[in-house]
Amino acid sequence: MNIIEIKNLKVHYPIRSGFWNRITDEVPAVDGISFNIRAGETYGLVGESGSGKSTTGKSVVGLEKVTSGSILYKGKDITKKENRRRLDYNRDVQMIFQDSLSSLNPRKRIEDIIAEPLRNFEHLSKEDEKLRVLQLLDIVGLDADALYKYPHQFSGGQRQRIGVARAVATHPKLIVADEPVSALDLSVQAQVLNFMKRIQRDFGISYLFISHDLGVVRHMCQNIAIMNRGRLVEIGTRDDIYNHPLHIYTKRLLAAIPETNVDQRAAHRASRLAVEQVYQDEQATYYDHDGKAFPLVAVSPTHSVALPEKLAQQLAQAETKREAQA
Amino acid sequence: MAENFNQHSDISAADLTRLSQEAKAEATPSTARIIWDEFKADKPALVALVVVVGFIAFVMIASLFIDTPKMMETNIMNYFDRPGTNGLWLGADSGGRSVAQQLIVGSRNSIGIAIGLTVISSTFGICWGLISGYYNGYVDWGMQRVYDFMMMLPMTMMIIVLVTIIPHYNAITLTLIFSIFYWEGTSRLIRSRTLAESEKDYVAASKTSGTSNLKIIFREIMPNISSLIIVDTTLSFAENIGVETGLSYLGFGLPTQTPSLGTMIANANDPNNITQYWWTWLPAALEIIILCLSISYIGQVIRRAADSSQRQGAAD
Repeated sequence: MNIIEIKNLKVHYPIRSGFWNRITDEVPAVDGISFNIRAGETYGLVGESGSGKSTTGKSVVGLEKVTSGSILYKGKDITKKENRRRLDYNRDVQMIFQDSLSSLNPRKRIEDIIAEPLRNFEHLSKEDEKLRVLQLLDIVGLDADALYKYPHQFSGGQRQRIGVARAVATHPKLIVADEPVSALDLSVQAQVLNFMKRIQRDFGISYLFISHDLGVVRHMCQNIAIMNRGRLVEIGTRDDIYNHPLHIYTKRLLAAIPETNVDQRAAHRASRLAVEQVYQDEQATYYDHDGKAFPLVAVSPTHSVALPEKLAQQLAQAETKREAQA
Repeated sequence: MAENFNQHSDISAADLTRLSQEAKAEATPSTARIIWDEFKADKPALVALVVVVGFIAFVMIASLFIDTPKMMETNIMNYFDRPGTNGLWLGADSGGRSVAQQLIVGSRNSIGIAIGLTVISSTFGICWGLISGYYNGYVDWGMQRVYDFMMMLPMTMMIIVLVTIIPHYNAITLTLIFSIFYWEGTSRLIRSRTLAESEKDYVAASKTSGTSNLKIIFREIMPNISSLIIVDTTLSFAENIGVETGLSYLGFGLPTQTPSLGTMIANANDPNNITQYWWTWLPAALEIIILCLSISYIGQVIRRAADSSQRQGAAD
């Protein structure tokens, strides 16, 4: 069952110039993307910086004004403010931010930060509210003495966990995680990620997991969408994307994952350069004449790629053949 | 839904009091406590605080015991009495009026106007700047054009004209007239910081937590620019003492029968007074200097207290 259905979402930022400050051009940050998130799954949205993945995430929580297209939740289009208010939408859809420090108000105590969504949506009594905050702190592994402290007194990992506690406070159904661990060091990354997984298991939350770190996405997500220049270039399961990538952009992203095996350094370097060479040579066939991705074409029930129909089938067949040999 | 959390956490209602006590023991000190620690760490500022508070309290109370109309009566026998003669601590001016009594009543008038003006103009300026900066877009555009129009008006000229038009003006009407013009600088300053602040993630987080816009403006953003607000308010308080004195000095401030620091400094218009009768103007001038310096010292301490990275007081 789909919890969220995104249909042909477009977010264009106007460029104003001239004496009358009129709109003279547009930046298509998100340019017509469609995908669905199923209940209880973690959906990965991957792309380089500037590809529009954060804008997509913000549109889903209702922070961004959408140019056209729709986002359906419980059959209602929540790109309209009216519908969001009527559904108490943000009670069910919350967000975890990338920068844990700037996403926590430095002037508020932890208790007030975590209780903020509770005060707006649940109207608990003072006692119940404090109890709930203490439970949330316990769930994210922080002591009760954090209650009256300020955000700057915590480490990055602890702060991000406070952000997670705030996001799960109202027991949401979907959490948009906008690069939740990219500002943290590796050991803390693992800690926070495992912890997000635990919460997902316990509460049955879906995540829209936005990241540029393919290693993290592989660890977290069942379904993945690759985004490039405001459009989706490839959608598929974890296996589709990591083991059978079809679009050159996906291959390039995968080639960029650092390898720790030092012995085969030369071989990795060679394969990386080969992918880059193909990208440089065949860019024209993979993108349309405006340098944009093509519309998505399904090559299997789970796997879609943004290529002309013929090329997509051809690549898919080559991929199956290659696998049969291996 | 609450059961859901109960399943995953060992904490139950029974632990509530114990845990909140534990948390209290570890709590960061309150704002008042931090400000007080900051004053204790900065002795000159503590002296400044005592001076300002003591002086304002003294002036407010002492002026209740002075009969102003009687004080302002001319007494030719005391013409330019030196300090200490005829029971006049600070001597008398050309009308034989006690300088010490005028100083007390005049300080009350000037400080009262400065406080009133600061409260009204800063409150208005802060609200204007916050709303303009937060909503941005058309709201900001409209509000900033009003601001531009107000800036275009020549302030001192307008005040002088308004003062001459209004028939029976007193300290309150004068304060209101000043307030029409003195919110502008504050509003621009606050707006610029609000523009930057409302782009931060915690504002977005508050929006997704369902907090209303007004609450975000005044409960989320305003505390975060409080150090700016405090510095601006203290400085404009010091400046506002100057505004009234300056205008009274020129003869367009309070009516002549109402003494103020400005009318007393205006005694220095006469070269004779400057050279021979120094006691008619020097006390008022010294008072303004000491007050303004002390206020800016206090403002610095409060600003440091508001910004945890600048604190000098006891570590938390």
